[in-house]
Amino acid sequence: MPDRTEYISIKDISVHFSTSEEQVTALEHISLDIYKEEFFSIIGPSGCGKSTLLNLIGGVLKPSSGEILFHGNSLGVSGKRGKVSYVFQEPVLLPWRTLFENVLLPLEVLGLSIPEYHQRARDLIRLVGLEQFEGAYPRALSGGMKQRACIARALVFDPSTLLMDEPFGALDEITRTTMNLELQKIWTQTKKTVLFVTHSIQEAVFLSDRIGVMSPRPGRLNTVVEIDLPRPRSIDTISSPEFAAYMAAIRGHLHGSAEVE
Amino acid sequence: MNRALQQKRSSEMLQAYGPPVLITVGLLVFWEMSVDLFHIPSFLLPKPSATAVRFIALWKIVLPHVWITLFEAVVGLVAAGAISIILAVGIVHFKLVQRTVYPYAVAAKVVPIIAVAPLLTVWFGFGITPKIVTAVLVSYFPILVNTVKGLQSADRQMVRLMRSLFATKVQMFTKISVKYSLPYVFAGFRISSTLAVIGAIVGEFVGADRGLGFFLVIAQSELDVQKMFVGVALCALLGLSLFLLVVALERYFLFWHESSESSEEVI
Repeated sequence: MPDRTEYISIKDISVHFSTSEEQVTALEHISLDIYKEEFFSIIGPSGCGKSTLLNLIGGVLKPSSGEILFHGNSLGVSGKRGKVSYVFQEPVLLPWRTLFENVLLPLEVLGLSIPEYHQRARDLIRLVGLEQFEGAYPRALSGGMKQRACIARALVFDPSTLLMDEPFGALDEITRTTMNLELQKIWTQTKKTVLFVTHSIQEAVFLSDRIGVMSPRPGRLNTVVEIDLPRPRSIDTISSPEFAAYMAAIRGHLHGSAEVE
Repeated sequence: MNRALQQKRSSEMLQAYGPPVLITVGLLVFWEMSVDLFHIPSFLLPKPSATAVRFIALWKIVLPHVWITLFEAVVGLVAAGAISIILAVGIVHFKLVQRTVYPYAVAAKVVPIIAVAPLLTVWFGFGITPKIVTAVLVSYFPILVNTVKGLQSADRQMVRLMRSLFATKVQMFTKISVKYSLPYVFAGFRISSTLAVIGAIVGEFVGADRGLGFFLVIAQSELDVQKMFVGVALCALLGLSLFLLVVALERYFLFWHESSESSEEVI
């Protein structure tokens, strides 16, 4: 288990969007502490503001009220630059660049394009199991391989926090399970704080230290469930009774009745 | 193994290029025979064979004219490309440019080039300058419109990723937008390549002492239909060469694009 030093503090965050007709509250009074090197999943139905929460932490969106502290500091844009990294649902790579060149992109943007990081890029490509495809163009890669490349790209500048917005949502279930195992391995080896948005209860229980369950309209954080399953977790973990109990509990929270617990 | 591959490739080539070649040959034979069959006088419609013979006879005389027109069309196309791309970048990035320049760019396109050409001769004389200007005026629009569209067509997720890295506007432009716009820019250049030849020839019609347009005007004044056919054929060849040049450049620069994946592509 990771140590319990709070790393990201979300303090009473609300987000309102105004459209021409009405004001929509996307998130309402959310407070949450994420621990250092923790794997934290956010689960909830569509429209509950999961992605909005990620965008707030990533700094591409500003809250209407409340604040987010990193290590107790409110970071501006320059402070967040190079600290957080995204993996999206769509595994987008630049089609005119090879896999290796794609992984280097964030380094170029952040001005870190130096040999030391190039070696890191190679190591990460090996970590995600794509060392044979370094020189391949994206159109030669499958969906799962592209997403692995995106994970390597997200880690290349050594961010402390990884924000993953339904990264395996577009993959078939078999590939998805493989990717979950891979991600657990990558997370164990790289020691990142991961915020993982998903629709899949099984995926959340399998990967997480804790799961935040959200409800929609307005987006609220209902409860936080701690998943106390030993690591490393394997395919067998999924069929254990404890795993099933956690899944039932999360399902109960999602549907508003906690009695299953 | 190797031989099987070679055989496969040559049969693919046959499938791709066989039918158009066959049709062209068939049409030429039909034309050749019809002239004899229906007793069409050669001053109205000369036979292809006669035109070919005439072409060989005129070769030395007509070649300098071809070079002049080619030069005007290429310079016109390159200038049109440069101007359009600069304007497109301005239009996409600055609201003010979009509001002020874009309406004029559209309006300028609406004025028939044939109406403006005499005016250009008055301003720029009988040299090659007015021909280059007409080539630019005829050919800038497709490149401009396509580039504007292309610069706005970067993958949205890629833009989101760059934003999350707090990329600067310049980085966003050079690393993302420019490359994503290239397929559109080349689509524009394809259309404009043939238009530039038309522009150069229209310019020459109005007042010139050299070029294919001039050659055609002389042939017409002599009522020499065979010579006119030679001129028309050369105009077509010129437009086609410029078009194929653009296609070749496109293949080279857009090797990564979906369109270059299939050999079935319509050039």
